[in-house]
Parts: sequence; C-alpha cells; structure tokens
Amino acid sequence: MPTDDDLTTLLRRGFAQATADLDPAPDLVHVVRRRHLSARRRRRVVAVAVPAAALAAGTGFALAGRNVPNHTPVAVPPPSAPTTSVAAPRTTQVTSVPMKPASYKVVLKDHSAPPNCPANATAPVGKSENPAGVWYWTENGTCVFIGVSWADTKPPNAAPVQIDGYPGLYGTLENGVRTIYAPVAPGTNDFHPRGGWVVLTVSANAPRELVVRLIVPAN
Amino acid sequence: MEVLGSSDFDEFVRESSPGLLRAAYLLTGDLGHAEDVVQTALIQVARKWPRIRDEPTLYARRAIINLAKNRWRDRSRRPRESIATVEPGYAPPDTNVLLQQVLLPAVMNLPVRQRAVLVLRYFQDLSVEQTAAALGCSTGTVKSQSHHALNKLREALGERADLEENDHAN
Repeated sequence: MPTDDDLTTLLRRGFAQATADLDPAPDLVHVVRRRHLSARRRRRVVAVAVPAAALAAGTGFALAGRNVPNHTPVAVPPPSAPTTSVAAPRTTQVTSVPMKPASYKVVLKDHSAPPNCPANATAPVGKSENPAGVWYWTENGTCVFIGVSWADTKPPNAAPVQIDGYPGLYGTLENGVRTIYAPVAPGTNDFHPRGGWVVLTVSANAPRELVVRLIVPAN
Repeated sequence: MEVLGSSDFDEFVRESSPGLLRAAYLLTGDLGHAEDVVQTALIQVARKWPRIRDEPTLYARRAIINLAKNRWRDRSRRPRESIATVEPGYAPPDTNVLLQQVLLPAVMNLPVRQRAVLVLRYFQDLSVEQTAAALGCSTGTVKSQSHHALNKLREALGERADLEENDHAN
C-alpha cells in the first residue's frame, strides 16, 4: 500500500498534469469588469426602486385591507438590499468600459396583478393588467401609476432625456402626460425581436427619475 | 475606492486567475464550470475590493470553494463528470494511466470538502494553517479531512491493484 508521501507525490503530479494546459481567457479582465458593471447596475435599480416604495408603505398609507379581492402582495427584497448600493460609483467612471448602444428591459413585469393604485393595497408596489403598467407608493405617500407599452418607433418630437445612468432615453411632455421612450435593441426582447421602444407614461407632475425605476439597462 | 478605475485589481486578476482557474477545474471537474466559477468569484472580489485589497487571494479562494460546492450540489441533476472522462484533451498524452484512470477520478469522487483540502494542500501548496483559513475551519479539521481523503485514495489504488492481480491470474 502506498504511504502518504507516495500518494501526495502522485497527487501533485496528477494535479499538475491535469491542469498543465489550462489558462484563463485573455480577455478575462474585461469580462469580469463587464459582468461586475452589469451586476452593479441591477443592484442599483433594485436598491433604489422597490425599497423606496417599501419605505412609503411603511408610513402606513398602503397597509390596510388584506382581504382585497384580486390582489396579491408583491415580494419585497429583504431590508439589507439597499446597503449594496452604498459603494455605487459615479457614472463618469463607467466610461472606462466599452459601451454598447443603450438598450433596456422592464423590471417588475412578473409581479402579481392587483387593481390599479388600490387605496387599500397590502403591498407597496404592483402590476396592473388593464391598463398595462405598474403602480407604487412613493416616499411622499402618493400612489403613482406608470403605464408600460410598446412602440416600434419613437415620435419625431421626442427629445433626448438626460438622467444619470440611463443613456439613450427620449421623452415628451404633452397634455399633462410625461412619456419616456427607452430603446430596446434587436434580439433582446422575445416579443419584439426586431427591437423598438418601451414606452413609459406617467402624469406630468411625477419626476422623470421615478419613471426610470421601472427599467434596467439590458446590455 | 472604485474597482473599475483600479489597475491593481486588473493586476490581481492577471496574476491570480491561472491558479484560480486550475484550482476551480480540479474542484469542479469541468472546464466550463471552472471558468464560470472563476469569473463569478472575481466579480465577488471586485465588489469587495476596497475592503479586501490587502489580501484578495484569500477571499478569492474562499469564493471559488464555495461556488464549487454549490456546483457540486447541482451536479446530482446532471450526468456524472470527471476530469478523466470529460476533458481528456487537457492531460498530456504521456500521462500516467494510474493518474488518469484511477487517482484523478477517485479525487473527483471525494466529498467536496476533502477534495478542496487536497487541492489547496497539494496543488496550491498551502500550509495546514493557510488551508484552514481558506476553508474557514480549524487546522484539526484540515488534518482529519486530509487523512480521510488520502485513505480513500489509497483504497481506490488498492482496488485497482487487486483487479490487475486478478487479471494476471486469469
């Protein structure tokens, strides 16, 4: 029977032989940076959007009436989620990574479908089927409904919208309705493989930053 | 401190990734999984970089081991894999048959903690204390896990020798 020394000598040899030709991909640094950046964007959106609505709910505005028909509470991330955004960098540092054209996807699309802005909601955020969109309670205790729809092209009068961390957006402000157009690159949406625009509509008095909580960069 | 603007993070990735990839390969038994594990571990390192930049290797090793454990748990849902059968191209053509057909498959059949001890001790050449730190356990646990692992390998080699003797006898 081999001794421990014999075995460990064999092991060292076997390990060395089995891994002799293994080397990481030359672009590993770039891949790690890109994935890190992408993950951080997702964390920032989650950290800002839902916990803020949860905070509003915590003020007592939306917590009554647990037996509301056709209403299902929406899962809210654990309280520790917001802390992940503490180290979020300034967007100026993001430019060191090669960027693709802006493209977005809608978050919260798989959540339950309670009525639109229910006065006695048991959850701080939810999805409405008709009209299609998402409602949630803001920090100010008001319920905001954001319509979500689709357009193959944006209207010619849409102007670029500058919001930190959200490049490529366009918007209009007409008849008391603010509309944000978020680009969707071809091949990134199963229902619209040719790409187009996610259209987010909200009342004009709602801030633009509130609207973009519903989207995350998809590239 | 922002990792995206940090050249020392890039340097760490370049210097440590070959060793991490090889260790991950020995832990998972699959090159694709190993590459994914290394990428995920390095992303975890990137997130913690301001806090761990003085000793990132220890954190990266722990991440690799934990991710490999998770992969190993998932493995029950997939066909069995082993270094010897899945990636034969990664062994040089003159590799000893004993290593290829007996020892390395036996290593892959060890519990992941025992395998991790062997990889850290005899591939990465860590001391018992360093291995314990990487695994987050006591030095006594490292010694006992190593002892059990070597015994199992010894048994596997013994079974192989018995089979060969029987073949010769017949």
